[in-house]
Amino acid sequence: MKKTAPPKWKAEWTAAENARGGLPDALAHFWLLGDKLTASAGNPADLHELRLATKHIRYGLEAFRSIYGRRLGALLGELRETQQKLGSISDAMATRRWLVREGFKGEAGAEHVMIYLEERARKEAGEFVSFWREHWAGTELREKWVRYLVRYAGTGPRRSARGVWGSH
Amino acid sequence: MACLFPYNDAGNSGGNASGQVPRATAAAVGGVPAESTGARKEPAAETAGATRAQDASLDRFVRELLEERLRRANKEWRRCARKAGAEEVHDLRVSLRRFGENLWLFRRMFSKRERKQVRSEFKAVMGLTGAVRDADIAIESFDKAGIEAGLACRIALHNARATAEAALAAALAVGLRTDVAGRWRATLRLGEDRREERGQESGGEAGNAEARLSEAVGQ
Repeated sequence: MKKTAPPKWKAEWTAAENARGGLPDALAHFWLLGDKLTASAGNPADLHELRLATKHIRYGLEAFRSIYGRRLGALLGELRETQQKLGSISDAMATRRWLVREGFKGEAGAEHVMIYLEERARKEAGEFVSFWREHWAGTELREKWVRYLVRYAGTGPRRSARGVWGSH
Repeated sequence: MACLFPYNDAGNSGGNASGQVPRATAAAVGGVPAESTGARKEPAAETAGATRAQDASLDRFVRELLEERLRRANKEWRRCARKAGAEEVHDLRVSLRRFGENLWLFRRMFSKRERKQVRSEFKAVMGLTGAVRDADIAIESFDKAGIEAGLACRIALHNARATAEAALAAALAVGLRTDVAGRWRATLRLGEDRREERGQESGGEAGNAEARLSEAVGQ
């Protein structure tokens, strides 16, 4: 699984200009990937790729937090929620694999936990697909955030005495 | 000025500074017309007079960002070295991941050699924290499932956690002893404005290796 390349930053642009030029497209790629991976019923293994993509876009946007106003926090919060849901599915899958790898297969208690984890992953994956379709699929919501990233790049708060990153 | 660190990667096509929404963006939002976005054009202020993060050059912005991420990771590193509980390990992982993600995001601004040095050590520590975290989540899974592990299972879980923690503690101690944050800062040269140098290198990977080595060891 290959990471999506980050935006093509331009050294001669300011940080705000780079944010405006690169972030909307990066967010759009994330949505397109999410649409593709949630098109089916929700296979926990498929959603792993989306979890990584969510992590990348979240931390990528977060890097430019000081460039934007407070409203970016709302988008970051939504991405965090998405990441947490995907993280729970991924944890269940990974822990099941870990228990097998560490030789717990056959242990009575561990077998029950593995069944529990598998069922949990499947259930949460199904719920996640519904969440994605209800939450992220709306054109209006996407338009809103794309416009925000384009229009409000460079409207962040003034630097604190501790430096550009002091307030975060 | 030419682009100092051009990307060759396929995938993301990037955008532009005029506020136009790129094609992929338009597709994902159902076709937002570029002219409707109404971007505010920011002045390309030079760093010397800049008072806000958004006015800073990308170079300065990235160096300050990574410096802050590194400062936080170093704090969590120290905390975790004192006590590697589940919360401490998790917080260290999050702070390291933030640093790593941002280094990856702006990776073209650093030479391959610099990045690789930091990345290899970073990945080793992340692997060790991951081993502890895996054991913690496995232990937690028994609680969440409401299942009591048998004695053999409890011992095995405890052993897995203890050995992973010991390996992590050793690596964290090495980091403290060798000032990991200071070394990474020196390797990535976060304290320097390197725009001119990159211009001379025309986007190349290598610089003056001897000079860099001297800087890294503080000569």
